[in-house]
Amino acid sequence: MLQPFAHKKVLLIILGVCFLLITWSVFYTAQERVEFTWLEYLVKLVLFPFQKAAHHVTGFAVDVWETLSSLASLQRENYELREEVVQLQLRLAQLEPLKEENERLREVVGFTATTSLNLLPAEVIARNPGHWMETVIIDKGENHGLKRNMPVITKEGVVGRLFRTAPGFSEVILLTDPRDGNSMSGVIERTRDLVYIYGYSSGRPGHCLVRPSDLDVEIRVGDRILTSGASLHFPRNLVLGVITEVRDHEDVFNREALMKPVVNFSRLEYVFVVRE
Amino acid sequence: MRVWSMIAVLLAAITLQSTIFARWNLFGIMPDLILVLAVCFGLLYGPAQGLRIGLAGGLLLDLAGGGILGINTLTKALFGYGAGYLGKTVFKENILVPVVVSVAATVLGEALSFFFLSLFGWRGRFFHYLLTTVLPLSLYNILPAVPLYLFLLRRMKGQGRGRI
Repeated sequence: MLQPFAHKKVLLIILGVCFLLITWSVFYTAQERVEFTWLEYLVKLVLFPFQKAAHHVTGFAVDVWETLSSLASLQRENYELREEVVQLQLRLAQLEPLKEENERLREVVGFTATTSLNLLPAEVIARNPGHWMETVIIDKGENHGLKRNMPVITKEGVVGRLFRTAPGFSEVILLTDPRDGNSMSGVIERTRDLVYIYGYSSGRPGHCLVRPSDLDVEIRVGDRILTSGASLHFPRNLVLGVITEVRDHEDVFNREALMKPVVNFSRLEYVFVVRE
Repeated sequence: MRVWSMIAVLLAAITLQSTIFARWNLFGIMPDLILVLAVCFGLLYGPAQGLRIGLAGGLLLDLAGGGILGINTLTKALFGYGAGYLGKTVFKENILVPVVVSVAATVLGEALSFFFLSLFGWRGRFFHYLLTTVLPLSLYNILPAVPLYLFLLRRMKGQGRGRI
């Protein structure tokens, strides 16, 4: 049997080895990794059915609660929606000739028609349990033809891109994830000037950092930012977000702004993956 | 606590954190159930148990999160172990014990994690992070910490174990 002093020494050695292993792991995994490690995959695979069940139970409870609490206002809302439908139908009828005219003019100028996106609907099952990384798990994966870096959107705008895929599920990296490498290009809708967008959850959770591509690019509060044609993964002209703050800096090279994504990531339930 | 029941409790905590609490968030923040578990077990059952729960829970959290592997493992193990040592010197029946220790562990743990992440190119300003993330997280962590601590305390008394 070990003496108390020897026992303490062994414990210290074990703790030291653990510390070194963890430090090595931190350095090894700090870069953006294309695939899950087998341990990560195993844990995610075990968690997935439980997360799916918990997600459905919560969804059901929230639906029941929202239905019960909104019963009183439902009739009024129904009346308002009917009115809105009539107004939208009228607007659609007015827009139809404009669309045809646009297509005719495109043909004359020689522009190719905008292709419709090939969308696959998916349900958000879980969020990243740590609050440092901004990722969500969706219920579609490689079995549904999904691949890394495919864009993920909602009807409001861009959510992010597929980060890692597995046969039955995928991990989506949100625009706001602050990981090094999670950046993209965009354009200011007002001027069509190019800007660079980085994940930036610290300081303002749910915001992105926007930097101009050139010294004479002017960013204003309220500017809408869209995806650019220069983006590697995203189709052009999808809405990314709105500028909420411009941070002027004495050094013009360090000017930056904050963008709030149009999609509310804390209430994300359904998304669409844009397939190639 | 047996190994399998410990793993089951930790997986249940991660499932709750990533689904139910992700939806019932406070300013976009969900509670850190693994830290709460490590601190409560450490306070009541001693440093070895706090270290075990923190180490295993932090590792599972890192693997489920898929980010930098090791930061949660290190911080949760450290604070589980630290809470265990603190548990030897405090009056355990005082309800303020889990409140103060969970808040202190949250703030220190986040500061340590911030330091690690900023080494790897993570963009952020600590003061903003303190106000917008650490403050709501500290408050939110109190909510599960108090009932869990009281439950464990009652269970421990029922078993006639511990140092009460």
